[in-house]
Amino acid sequence: METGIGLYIHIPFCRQKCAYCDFYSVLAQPGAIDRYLNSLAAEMRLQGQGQLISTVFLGGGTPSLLTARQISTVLDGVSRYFLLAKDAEISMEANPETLLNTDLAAYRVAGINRLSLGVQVLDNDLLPHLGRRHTAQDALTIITRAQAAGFTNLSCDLIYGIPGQTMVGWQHDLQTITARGLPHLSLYCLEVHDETPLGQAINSGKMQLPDPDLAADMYDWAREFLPQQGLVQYEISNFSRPGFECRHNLIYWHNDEYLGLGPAACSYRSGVRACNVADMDTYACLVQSGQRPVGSSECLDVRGSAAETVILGLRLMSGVDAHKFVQRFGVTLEDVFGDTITDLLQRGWLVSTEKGYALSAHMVPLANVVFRCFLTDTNT
Amino acid sequence: MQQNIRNFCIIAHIDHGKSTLADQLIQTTGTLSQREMVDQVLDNMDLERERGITIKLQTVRLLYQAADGQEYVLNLIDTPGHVDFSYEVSRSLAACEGALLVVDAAQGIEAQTLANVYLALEHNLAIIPVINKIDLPAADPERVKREIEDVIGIDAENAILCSAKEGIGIVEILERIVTEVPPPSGNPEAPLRALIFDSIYDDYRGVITYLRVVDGTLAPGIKIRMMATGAEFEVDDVGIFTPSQTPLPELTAGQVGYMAASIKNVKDTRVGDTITLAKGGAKEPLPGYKQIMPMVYCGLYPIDTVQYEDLRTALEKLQLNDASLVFEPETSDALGFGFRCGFLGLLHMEVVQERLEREYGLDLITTAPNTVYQVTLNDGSVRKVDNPSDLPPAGSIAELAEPYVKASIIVPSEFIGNMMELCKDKRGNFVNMDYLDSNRVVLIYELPLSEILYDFYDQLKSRSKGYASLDYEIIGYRPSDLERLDILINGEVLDALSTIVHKDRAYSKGKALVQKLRRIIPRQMFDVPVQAAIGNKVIARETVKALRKDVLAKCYGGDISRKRKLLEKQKEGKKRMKQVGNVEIPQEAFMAVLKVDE
Repeated sequence: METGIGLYIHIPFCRQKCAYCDFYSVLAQPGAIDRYLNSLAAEMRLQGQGQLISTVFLGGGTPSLLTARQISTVLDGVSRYFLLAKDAEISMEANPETLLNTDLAAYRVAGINRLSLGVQVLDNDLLPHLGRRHTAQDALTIITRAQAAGFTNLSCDLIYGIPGQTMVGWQHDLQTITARGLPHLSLYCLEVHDETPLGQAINSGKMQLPDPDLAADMYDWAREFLPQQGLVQYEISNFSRPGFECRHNLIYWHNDEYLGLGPAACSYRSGVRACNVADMDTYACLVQSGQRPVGSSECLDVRGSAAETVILGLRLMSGVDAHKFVQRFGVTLEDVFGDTITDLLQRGWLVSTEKGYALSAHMVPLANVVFRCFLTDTNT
Repeated sequence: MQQNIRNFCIIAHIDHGKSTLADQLIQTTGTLSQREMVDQVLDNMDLERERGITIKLQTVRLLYQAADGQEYVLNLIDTPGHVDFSYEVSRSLAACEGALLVVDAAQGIEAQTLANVYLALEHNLAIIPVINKIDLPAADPERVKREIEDVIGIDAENAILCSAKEGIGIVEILERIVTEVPPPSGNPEAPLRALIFDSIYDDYRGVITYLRVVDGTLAPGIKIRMMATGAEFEVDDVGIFTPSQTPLPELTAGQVGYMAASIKNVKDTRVGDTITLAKGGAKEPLPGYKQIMPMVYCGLYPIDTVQYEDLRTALEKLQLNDASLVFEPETSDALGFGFRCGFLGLLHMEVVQERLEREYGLDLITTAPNTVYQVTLNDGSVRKVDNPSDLPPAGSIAELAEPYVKASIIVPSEFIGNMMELCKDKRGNFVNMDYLDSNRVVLIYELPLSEILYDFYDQLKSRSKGYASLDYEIIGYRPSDLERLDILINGEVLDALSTIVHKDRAYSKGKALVQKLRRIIPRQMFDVPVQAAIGNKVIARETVKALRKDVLAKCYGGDISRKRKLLEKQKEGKKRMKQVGNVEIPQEAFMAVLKVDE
């Protein structure tokens, strides 16, 4: 496998904003997508210098609002301005309802080889709480069709901790989905952001979050159940059959380099984290006039980079790789975090692995407690 | 000259228009031009203007050309408007011969007014009733006149009908001051006696003493002695308030003004003390001096320990201007280094806290306030305890006494039941009830001061739809069935949360407190028991269940910076908590005692 960088392409269009979502997206107006694809090509021209790309991830927004032909245009651009590895993983996020009247095989032909479906929950009473437009049946239909179209590398997103969701409902969803034999699942605890419609509904008392202990129980149950179905937990929120881990996301957790294209997309290159402007018009204007559409950037010091490497690495069940750490920073993990590591090992919050250190199983749901130990005080 | 001086004050309830009236008097007499007027000239601390209260006294000299053709000097001496400062009120009344009794034409007499007017009568002041706000639609001056006559027992037939806001009745007030307030009676030939009624600290000149010369003459160069403290000084400067300080060659009997004498500390110029000559001075001081003792204590701790010295400096500076503020260093197991501070009352405490935070930029944790307890030990010795955690073990205490107050509550009769219920809840003893008129009563209760410290005033207002007014005076110590309630967190006593409670309340208070703390203390990595205990006996327990889940579900390319910053912020937030043993306790826990519903 060649080692290249990851390429994230943001498709900032939605038919309707989900109630919990705080990502940047706009409503898809006629013609807007084609205009956007022009801007995207302009940004590729600016950023592309033939870099080797080992993974492409089309995220959103709702990438599945693009037709197979439009996807093909995007990927043609990637091939033109970058060096796309032959075995590249090319993922696309999709909302079930957008694919009901499409030929899924056409997306495979266009180059997509991994599909990530936003199923969220298989309960038609809960889906509207999330502002989703599909039904449970839509989701299951699309899973069947995707498998039929040859998407062996297929993943589903599921959400737990939804207002009104029960343990029984959660167990039923996981059982139904695993029965379909998908090789990958992402399970997300509902995060409530104040500025989203869901956040406002909860803050105003119109809706009530379930007991946090119920969400903890749901997570625990999944962590026990999924491995029995052959889906191994490889990251805090991700489970897969061995070999089906999302290679693109592994780049993030290995703290390796990636390039993000599109408004609000972020990049990490040469120690600099940069994010594009989160506004479609500004973005278009900048790239069309030949300027990089960067809105904010942050250059991390070595200590900050080291802390991020550890925190991201510990999200993986395999843990943070001590050998790679030395290669990267020229010092050992113990040189930088010796006292913290000793303390955490003593408390039983970390375990030593062959390659380095990992969260002990009982600390996975409490990962933030460990992560905070690796951060320096902001005001000292 | 003395014949043409009139010294007077204004007695009024908060919001009944004292400051507006004072402004009108200043303007009408031409003391300040329109241009120089700031709204409500007399309240000159920001805090005073914001809260509509008077803390430091202000004084202004008005020159008035009366209808009889003569010019008069009218000295208006401000009075503080809050029960915490009733001693200061009595001293400023003692500096006057007359008082304007200002009553709101719609609302009638309130408890604070009543208390102050009785004080004024005790000092034999001429009282001129003024019914203010007659322009209001709800004004009922006849009813208010009757109320003044029935309740206070003074003739209100000739009460001045006034609207300070509209400038109605102002000249009549000035005339009546001239004709009804007697001129000062002191003897200009006798040895100097001057009454101190306030003092302020000036960075350049030291303490500026506000005084009323009763006998003799005060002039620069004279050597003086404070009769209560014995301190001696040489006078640098004397003068009057116009309202800014204006020097004069001397102040003679009857005059009101200021004195600077290179005094370093306000403690040397105690309110109520008498100034006389260092040599050949008066034999007898003026009556009424009392050394006032703080009645309410709390611990003040810097949130960030590096601010400890800043806090000390700030307290010292405030003390320069505030002789009734006391403090001494204190150490708490839970809160570290801080100060035990004593105040005249709750308002005084709030004002000091607010000034420390606002003017000195300090971040403070304040422990719940408590009164001073009087402990008689088995060996017969008596001591005062101003911190619940200093209370000796129950076995060694023969008697525990707490300060009681006599409270007057004026309230519409429909709320009598609510008020009685409240006072009973607060361990009050009913003393008396009088009808002010057909629908208002004054209720007299004796209550433990400690009960008033909590939510008494808020309850009073909420159970009377805001109509009740309250005044109280401390009437001394009384034995009570009290005990110390300790709070244990994870098995350790949190000293800053110890309180002294009545035995009948210990259980309900303990229960309410641990329930409240269970909600405030964030979940930790292990179960944290929160217990309330009397001595070794646990009377209530709750558990803060161990944290089950603290993890960010998503962390992809666009999230990394944001999520790292979020974690950093959380870490910062945890640093602001107090670490007690293994447990992180947020600051609001230390004020929880104040806000429990039993």
